[in-house]
Amino acid sequence: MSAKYRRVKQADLDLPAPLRWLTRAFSSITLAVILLLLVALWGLLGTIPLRMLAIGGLDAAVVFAAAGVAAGLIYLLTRGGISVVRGIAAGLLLAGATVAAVRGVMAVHDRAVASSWLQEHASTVIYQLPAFEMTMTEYYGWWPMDLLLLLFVVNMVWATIRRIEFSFVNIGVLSVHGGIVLLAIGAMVYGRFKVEGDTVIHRRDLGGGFVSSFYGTAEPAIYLATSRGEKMIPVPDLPRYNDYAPGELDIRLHERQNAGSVLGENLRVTIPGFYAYAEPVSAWRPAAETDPQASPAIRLAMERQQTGEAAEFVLAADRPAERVLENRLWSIQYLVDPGEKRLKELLTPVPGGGHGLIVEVPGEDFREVYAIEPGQTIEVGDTGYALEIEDIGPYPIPFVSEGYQDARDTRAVVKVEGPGKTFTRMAMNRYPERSQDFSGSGGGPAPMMGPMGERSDPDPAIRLVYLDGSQMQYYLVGESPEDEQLDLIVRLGGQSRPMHRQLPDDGFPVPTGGQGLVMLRIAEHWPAAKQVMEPRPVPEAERDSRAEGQYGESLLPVDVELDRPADAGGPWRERVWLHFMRYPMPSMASGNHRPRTVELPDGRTLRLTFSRERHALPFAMGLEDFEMQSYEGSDIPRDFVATLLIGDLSESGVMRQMPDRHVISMNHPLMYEAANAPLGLQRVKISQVEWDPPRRDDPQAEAKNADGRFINQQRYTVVGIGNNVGISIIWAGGGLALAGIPWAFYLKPLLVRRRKRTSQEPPAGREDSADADAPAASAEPAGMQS
Amino acid sequence: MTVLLVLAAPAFAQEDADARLVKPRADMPAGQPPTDSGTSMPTPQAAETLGPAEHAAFAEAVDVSAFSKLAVFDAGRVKIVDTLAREQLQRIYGKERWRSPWTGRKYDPTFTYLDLLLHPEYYDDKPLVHVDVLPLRRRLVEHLPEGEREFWLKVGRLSPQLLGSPQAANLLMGRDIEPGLFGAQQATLQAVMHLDAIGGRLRLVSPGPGGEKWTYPWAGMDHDHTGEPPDAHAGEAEPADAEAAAELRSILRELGPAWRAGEAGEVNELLDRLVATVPTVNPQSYPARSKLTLEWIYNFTHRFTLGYLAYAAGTLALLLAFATTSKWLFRTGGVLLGVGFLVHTAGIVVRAVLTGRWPIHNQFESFVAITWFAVLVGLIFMFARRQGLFGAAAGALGTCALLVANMMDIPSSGMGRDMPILATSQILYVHVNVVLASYALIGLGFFISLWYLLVHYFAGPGGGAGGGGGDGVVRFAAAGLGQIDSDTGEAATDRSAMLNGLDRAQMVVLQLAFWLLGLGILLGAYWADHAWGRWWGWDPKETWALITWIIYLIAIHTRFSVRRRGLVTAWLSVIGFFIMLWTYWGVNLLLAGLHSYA
Repeated sequence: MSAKYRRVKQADLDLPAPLRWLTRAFSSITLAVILLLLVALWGLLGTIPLRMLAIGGLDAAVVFAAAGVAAGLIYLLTRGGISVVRGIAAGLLLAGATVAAVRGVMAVHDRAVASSWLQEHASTVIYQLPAFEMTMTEYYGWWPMDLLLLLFVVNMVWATIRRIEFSFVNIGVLSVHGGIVLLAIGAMVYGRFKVEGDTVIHRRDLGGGFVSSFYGTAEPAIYLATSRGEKMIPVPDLPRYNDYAPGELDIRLHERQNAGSVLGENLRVTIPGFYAYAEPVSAWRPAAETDPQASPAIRLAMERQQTGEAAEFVLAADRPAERVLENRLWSIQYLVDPGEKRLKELLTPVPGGGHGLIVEVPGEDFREVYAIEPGQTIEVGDTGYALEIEDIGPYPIPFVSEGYQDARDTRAVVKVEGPGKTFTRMAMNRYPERSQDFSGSGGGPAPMMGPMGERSDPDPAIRLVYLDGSQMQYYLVGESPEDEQLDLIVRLGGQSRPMHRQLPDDGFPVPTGGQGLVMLRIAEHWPAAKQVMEPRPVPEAERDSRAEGQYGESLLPVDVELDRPADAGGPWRERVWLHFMRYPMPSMASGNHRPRTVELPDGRTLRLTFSRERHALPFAMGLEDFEMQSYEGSDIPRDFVATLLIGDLSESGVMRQMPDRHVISMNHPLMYEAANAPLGLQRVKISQVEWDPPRRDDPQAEAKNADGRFINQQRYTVVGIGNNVGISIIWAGGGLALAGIPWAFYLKPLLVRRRKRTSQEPPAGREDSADADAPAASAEPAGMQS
Repeated sequence: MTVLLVLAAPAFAQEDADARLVKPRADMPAGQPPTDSGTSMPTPQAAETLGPAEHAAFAEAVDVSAFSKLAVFDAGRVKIVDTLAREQLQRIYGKERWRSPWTGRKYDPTFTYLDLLLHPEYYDDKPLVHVDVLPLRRRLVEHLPEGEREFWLKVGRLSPQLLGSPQAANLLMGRDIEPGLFGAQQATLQAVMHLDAIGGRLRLVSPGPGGEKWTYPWAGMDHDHTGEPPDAHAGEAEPADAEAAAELRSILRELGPAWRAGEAGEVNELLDRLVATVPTVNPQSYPARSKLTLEWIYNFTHRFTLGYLAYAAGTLALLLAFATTSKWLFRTGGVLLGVGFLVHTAGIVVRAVLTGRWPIHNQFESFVAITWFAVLVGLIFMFARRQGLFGAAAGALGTCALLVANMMDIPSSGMGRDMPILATSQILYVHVNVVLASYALIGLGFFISLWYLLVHYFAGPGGGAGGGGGDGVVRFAAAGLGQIDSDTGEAATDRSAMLNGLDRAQMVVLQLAFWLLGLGILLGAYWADHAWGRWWGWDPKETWALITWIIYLIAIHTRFSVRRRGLVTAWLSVIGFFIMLWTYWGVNLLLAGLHSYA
């Protein structure tokens, strides 16, 4: 105990009790050790995934149990004075106990290894759990950690003041402690004003403009844009690592950041859930029958008994493109209330099999069915019509007409010569209502003129229905959307007549290509269902761990709700799914990662973008040139060099002077000092961090122009924006601490020894310890216990 | 070998693979060729292939030792064929020596290299390309029948034929693969590319007068290396000795067929002539024999890591010396440690000579150099303080270090280009090496602390009361501390004085380690501030370096508040050592982070 501490402690006795305890505690080294161990524990929890932590902990327990035996045995053997028999007996006992302990822990270990929760969290670190949902930075900056560090600093300062003699020999330890305090202050300032982010700048010769903002590294934000303008809503409370089904969250964007100025009074935008790593899949789900998008639907299950293969398909009767399932051999359609006439057509046999054509001339009360093939000509009774079959086969492209988008069909092209008119009829098989007539020679200037001539609705004077004989046709027919007992119509073609019967409960067989039959049955029936986008969480094993917590693979549902009076249709609601965009600019959209636009029923549109928080810069940057330097003789990048034009902005956001030219490259950032900048942004580091990488799927990715420059690469640069407020305090503190250590360790013992030699008296502040080499020996050689 | 070509044309590969699939079986008796007459038709090529025993006999009879010492220009420097062969096999096969799964025989790297060059068909169905990541290996062989699959999973290497199969090609070309396997897929593709490029690397002929380029003498020859080689120096400076160049061509023409025919005698004769001829083509530019021999020695001694033998023997001798207080053993131990240290030093110096640069530029070099530094510190302490225990600790550390360098595959053990990230900044470079130096000292301190614990627990209080051999331990420890009474041969000091001495010894080392670690972390922070824009990022490696430092911070401060401070320090030093190992190895292996290169 130093003489100083003894003096101080004596004075403490006069203090009232709680104060005395407090000052004792904060003077103690034990407290410092405990705090440091807690910091280490914090780091341990923050770096090691839960599964490894649990299993590692249990393994350590096994090792300790085994080591316990060894230690016990050694103790017994070295203690002496114990008889051999007793020693052996005790050893056996110990060994038995340990084996039991080890086996117990191993059993728990095995259970832990098999635990599905731990399997799921094989790479989850504690701060990623739903209760935390923090970034690493947030975890280490959370208040318990701050509190630990604060207590440590207070402890160190107080203990230093009370225990260490402020003398020349102690300059070492004092500067170490002072340095650490300085470092802590610096770190606090740094943490308070730190900004970190990046922005993208397009090359000016390719139309890029000046950029005067950047995006924070890990700060999610939603951008809402209407005709009234754009609003950025930061959502720091958005989860990162875990999934929340819609309904589990309620983040009301319209209540934040004066969002009403853009949204208006009656529009609400909320985030009801979150999927951290998911991909969108579309699925049929039951819907209200009043929903305009709803349709009667069935879920068909296909099972192949021998192999156990199974597949499922949904057919929706009201959606032409969705009501068909087909392959080369057959086609299956789900029809609801097709009408007597259509049913009769479907049950009409074709003489001799093959393709058929039903010809009706209502005026003459004529109806006849013909087997047809290309090139054939048909005299239609004595109606005066003559038909020539020009072509039979698939309609070449999917339909684009309203309601029929993406539907495919086959058709017969029939040249019709009738009383006083000649035209070409395109007679459809699946959708006879889409049949059309073409007249004229084609290619002309008339508005409805296509390559086949002028298009018009089919002439009602003659009706042609084409029956496709190239596939087996199965029709599942319901009388109404609610009708669960469907009829089955089968047209197998060839000599067999169409069959019509009730659909058996165990389904019906369809052939497969050379591998026998497969059974199809109706697994589910919905009177009304609609197709909705749903997230499918990606299984852990398929995830790219680098993307976790970064939002890049996340799916964000956003509910847009409009309050309307009942007479205007009542409340209106739509859910959109947003993919993250690194930069909230339409020009940076790729694939699903783009803004979503919602058409509101009142005619307005709302554009939603899920991206990062934008911060203003006190200056603007343009990219004059951007070049990759490669290793000699190869295209392997060695460095990226960006030439930037940078100019300060005035308060109103106008550039104050001609911008200056600055060159940055990897590892050679620019420290830019802007005039009139707000606190924290006076000195900004601008560093070259990324470039536009060649897109793998782009065949032109490596294309170069005449100057040898890439055309589709190096069009823009990504620059990192950061500041370092207080960094010099940190370096000063760290430097001071490191400089003090050699003094305390090496110089001080020399000084003390020399003083000891010159004086008979023990040096001040020093007890009679023989240990001259101990560090900062005068501070406190003996115990804290008082 | 045209695996890549095959990868690019899976349809062709399918026919090829179906026709030539030869199925090795794990349970096949040694000496039997790996064919399965049941399911596949051996093609003529497969039929001609040597059986494992014949192949081994051929390898035995062929003498490539002189050839392996020829100079070759590769990856920016002149090395010897032996080095090139080792590096290439390391990249392709994952180890320097190819091992036959049927005979268990390990082949000379140069022999395998020549075999791959001159007789590639032999390896078509042999385990050759290493696929270290088990899930990828599993996926690459999942289309095979079960027994066969087991075989490939077990050997850990796949055959070129297997990698050329359409299923494997699909996986390797990036279709149909999970994102988690990207890294493994890239590594395998790299190995395949190295295999394909194996011939073109053998640039044996030194530049002609006025030229700078080394040339590959087989360039332009056909697949079997039988055709007339074009002028090896086309487009280059004329060879200084045209006659020698012509002689070289004629040797090369004959070598391929002789090799494939398994004519060991003829091959040996041709290799002898080749070895004699190559240096004479352009004698003015051919490297000095001494440098090539030096490199051969470097390879032969496993980069001088065999020094661990001397270290281990020296440590053992010292320990025995402590136990017996025999001066003779003491001296022997000292000399052996010196020898180990010289070998260790030679490893560094020779590497510097061979690479022409300061050899602490990558992980292997840092590891060797830093442990060398710690051993030096230990030896200096031993002589300065006349305390053998420092020597024993240094010897133990040196043994462990060189043993690890010898047995384990530390990245960049080849003498290639620097890790680009490490080449960019001097500060980073200093940071890495300062931190590693502190780790090495932590290792040294660990061994001294073990010594402390030994004395504490085994030397009974008061000089060994009781029957546990406490006397012996005291004498043993006293000998380590150089405190033996030369007259009586007994400890000249008591237990507590000795513990004090040991405590001082461990503190000397740990204090230095503590300071260097602090310095290293701060330098890292300084560099991170420049490179990543933040001085401290709580990256796992950073966090664990801090935790390691905290352990020693605690060790230094608990000394003021506990009674048995030596004991507590010794235990903390042991704990700190294991935490340091975790920080150095474990974090990289098990946790993801920005420090994955260091």
